[in-house]
Amino acid sequence: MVIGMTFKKSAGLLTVLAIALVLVSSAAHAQTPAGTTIRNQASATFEDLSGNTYTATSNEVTTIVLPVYGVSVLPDGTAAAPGMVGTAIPGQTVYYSYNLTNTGNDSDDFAIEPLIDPATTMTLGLGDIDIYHDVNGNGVLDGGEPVISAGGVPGNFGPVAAGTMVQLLVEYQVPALAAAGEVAYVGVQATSVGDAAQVDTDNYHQTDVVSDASLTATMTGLPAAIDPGNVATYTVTGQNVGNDIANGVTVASVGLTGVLIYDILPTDPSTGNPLALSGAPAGAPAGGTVLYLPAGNPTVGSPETWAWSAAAAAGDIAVAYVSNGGLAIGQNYNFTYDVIVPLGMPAGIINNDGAVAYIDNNAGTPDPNIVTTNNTQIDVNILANVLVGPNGVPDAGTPPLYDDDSQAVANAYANQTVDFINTVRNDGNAADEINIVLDAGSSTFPMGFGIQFFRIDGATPLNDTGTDGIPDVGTINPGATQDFIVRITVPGNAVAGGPYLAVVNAVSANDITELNITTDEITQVNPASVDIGNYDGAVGTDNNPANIDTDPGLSVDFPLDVINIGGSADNFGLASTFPAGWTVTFYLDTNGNGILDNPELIPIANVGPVVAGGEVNVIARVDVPAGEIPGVNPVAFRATSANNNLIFDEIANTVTVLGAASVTITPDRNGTGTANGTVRYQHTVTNTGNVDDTFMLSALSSNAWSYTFFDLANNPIASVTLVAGATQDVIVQLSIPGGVTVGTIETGTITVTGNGTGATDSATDVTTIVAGNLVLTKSASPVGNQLPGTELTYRTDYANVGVAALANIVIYDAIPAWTQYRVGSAANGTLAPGITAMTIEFSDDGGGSWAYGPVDGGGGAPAGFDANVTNVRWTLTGTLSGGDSTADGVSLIVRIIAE
Amino acid sequence: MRRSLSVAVLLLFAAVSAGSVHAQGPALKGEMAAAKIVVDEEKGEIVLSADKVYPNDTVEYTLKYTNSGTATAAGVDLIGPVPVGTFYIEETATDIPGLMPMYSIDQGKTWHKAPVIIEVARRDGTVEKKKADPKMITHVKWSLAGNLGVGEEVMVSYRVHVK
Repeated sequence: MVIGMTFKKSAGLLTVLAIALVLVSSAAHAQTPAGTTIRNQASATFEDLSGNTYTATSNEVTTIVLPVYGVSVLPDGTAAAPGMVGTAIPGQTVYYSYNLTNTGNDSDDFAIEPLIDPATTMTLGLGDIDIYHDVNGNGVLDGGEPVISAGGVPGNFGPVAAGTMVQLLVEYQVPALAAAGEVAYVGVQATSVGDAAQVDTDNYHQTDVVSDASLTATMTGLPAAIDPGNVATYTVTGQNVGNDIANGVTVASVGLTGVLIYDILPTDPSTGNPLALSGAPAGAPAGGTVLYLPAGNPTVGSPETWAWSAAAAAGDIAVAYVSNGGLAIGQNYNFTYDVIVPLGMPAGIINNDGAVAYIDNNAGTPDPNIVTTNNTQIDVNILANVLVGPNGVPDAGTPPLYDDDSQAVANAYANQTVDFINTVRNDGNAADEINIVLDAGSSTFPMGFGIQFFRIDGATPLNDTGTDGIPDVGTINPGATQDFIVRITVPGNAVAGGPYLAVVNAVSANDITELNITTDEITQVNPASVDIGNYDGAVGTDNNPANIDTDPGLSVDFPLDVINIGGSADNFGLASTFPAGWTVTFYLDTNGNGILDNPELIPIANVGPVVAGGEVNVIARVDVPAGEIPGVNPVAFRATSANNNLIFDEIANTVTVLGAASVTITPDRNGTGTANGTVRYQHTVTNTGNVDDTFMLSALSSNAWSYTFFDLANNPIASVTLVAGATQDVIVQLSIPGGVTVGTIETGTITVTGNGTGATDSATDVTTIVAGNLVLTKSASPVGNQLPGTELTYRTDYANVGVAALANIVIYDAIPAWTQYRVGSAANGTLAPGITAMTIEFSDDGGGSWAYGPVDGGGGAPAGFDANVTNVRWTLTGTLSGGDSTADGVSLIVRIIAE
Repeated sequence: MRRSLSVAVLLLFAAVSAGSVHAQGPALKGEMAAAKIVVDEEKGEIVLSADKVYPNDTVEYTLKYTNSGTATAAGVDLIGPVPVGTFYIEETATDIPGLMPMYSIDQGKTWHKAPVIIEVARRDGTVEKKKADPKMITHVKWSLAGNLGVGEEVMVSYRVHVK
């Protein structure tokens, strides 16, 4: 029992709290518990140049919170300004109630001990003081409540959870021989065991020894723990333990005089409204009157001056019982009333204390005397209630379970992400860390689909903000909502299907049996899709096959449209089928004009990314080889989705190769001949067209001389029959009439003409008539086709097949293309009879001059060769008589370039 | 506003890494680091490990993102949450040209320049506009002005107070 305290609770003015439109975490002022792991993960969103959006998250960093310790004992007070003041008569045992709070962030023990201020005049020692744990917080020392500090000896108490308040009772007896006017200043000191530097010591109260009325006042609140919606009962009891009568106060508003027992009703912190009274309050001694303080009235000044009413009304902010007159020595009193703990009231402690007002018999002290009860606590239980639903509608669904709500996206596409915004609401009465869990058993998305939870920013994955290892939306205050995102990632290789469901559970961390369900649905998943067709110069494409005519050996261009008819960005690989020997190359038609422009001549193998519904233009260039036979050739072009390489489209076009006749006869020839002699030239006839034909041979002589034709087997021929691409060598023989003047020039035009196609070509043989008849016979060794790097020896034998002797003979030889002269290889061979010497000279300018001297490596040739040498000539000294010759003529060596 | 060099944007041209999330295109690789900041009377700020902290300590989070892809990234937004158990310390977010911080007080749903202004409804029906308590901030975001080229990186930071 507490006696005579003048410490009053706050006036209880109804504070009008502004309601923020933006909700704030209720935990803003709570210290982070020791051992908490603070997790943080950054995220980034970005786009590629096609506008596709991506998300990248960082690593998660964790920080563990270490313990800090602290203690607070209330009420504070010093001898000069005591936190509580009580009166007692000699021999009376007094009790003072203190609240000890663990202000650290970790569980802690506390050393508790009493203190006596030197200003104390009462004969009181520390050994006279005990400190108890007021387990039920009723301000009364009940049986079984443990002593913490006995006889002034410090005692340890704990553990006390972080942020928790416990109640202490200080007990001592006023000495029986104490005289009125003596005073005691007694305090409580609490020291943290976790950190001895954390001490709260200024908590003194004052006890005055009197010889007068003295009332005790205690309050009980039952039940100790209560669910919202139920009724709690408060009882204030007390007794006049003094040695004189306790006189009543006059309550002016109702004209009644008596001892006034009153309580400012506790409030619902979520509304600020006082708890409503229930039933009829009752008081003793009988004959008194229950009073009510209507809403809106002030509670300042002495309580008997307040605007009490005898009639109850909604919203009453205080309740009282005024006895009918005073209390006699030893007389008890009580006052009991019920209040309703409203539904939705936040979980936590309801603190409440009452008071009693009376007038003592000492005219020299201020009146009235106010005795405040202990603080009593009723614990409002946590009731978890979670709702989750579509965006902004957490209470969607059919009551009472609200589990059948869903939202749907009609269509989703391969390689697309679909975000569902869901909203969770805490309909419980305590801040709750609401976990988000995918019900994998009920969800129906196929393998390969991704289902992730994100904060509403769309970038930060939900993580566990607590310690249960389950991702959550954070701690939500009662009544508050929080949005989050369920992100479905449709794989690129998704096939058509649906509907698919993501069944999402929101689960209370306060009560893991409390959950609510919502469902996010993709009704239809559409695979990647592409349309490739012929260019139409507009949106869309032409899927009709196209044909292009061409001659062999040319290229044709097919302008194409590639359209992404899937629902998300995609890349497309380009491929084609075509006849053997052909080639197809794709180019991007960047300006979309259907023409392959020079800046666009960059081959591509794929195109993209192409946005959903987007169209790009490409050009397929088809190279038709020379000699391709006439006919219609299929060429097909295919675009394949990179999202799903099973998805492709193809346009089947054709290339018509036209008939193209063509023939060549090569090379032109030069030679010499003598009258009555013959000269033979070898030519090659090639059917360079794509049509088989027989080619007629003819010759036109500038001197109307005779030409005849032979094959290589020396059979006379008039034509050659060649399939497309085939080749045949023919011999053209010129017969020179007798008596022709030396120096005459004969020009023969040798013509081949296709019998069927009319294709024609000509070669020219120029023959100079000479007096003698010097015949040069050139041979190469080794014979036949040779590999690069091979050295060839060209030898030219010479003979005078005429009658007259020949003098001033000069033999010329040219270094063939793709060969290089071996330095020092030009040789005279065996001199023919009559030839006495030779001079060998070199030209590096095609025979324009003959002053060049071969050098090793000349012209960049390998060692031993000279690439500058273009011609070699031998000037023979002496005369070559008719019939003379040599079979070991002049020679030189060249090397087929291999580099 | 805080403009220390330690939080300046670093645009570094570096070799493109072989690996890439997107075979063709930009790919951002993010790293986050936490450091405990204490003030020494003589040495000024000292950076310590933030593996373990006490209530009321200051923790600095540094975000570094590198474009490790093969193409330029556009529209880059960096987001740093204010984790549970902490609150944002006003004017500690990197704030330099091209990287102006934005703040959210609703878990990233909406973003505002500093100071964040909220509307408070009074019981008489009127609305009062007032500066939001920095403790209300849940996220900080930077929108990079311009693109982030291949191999370039961007780094920002912000500080929180451990409750």
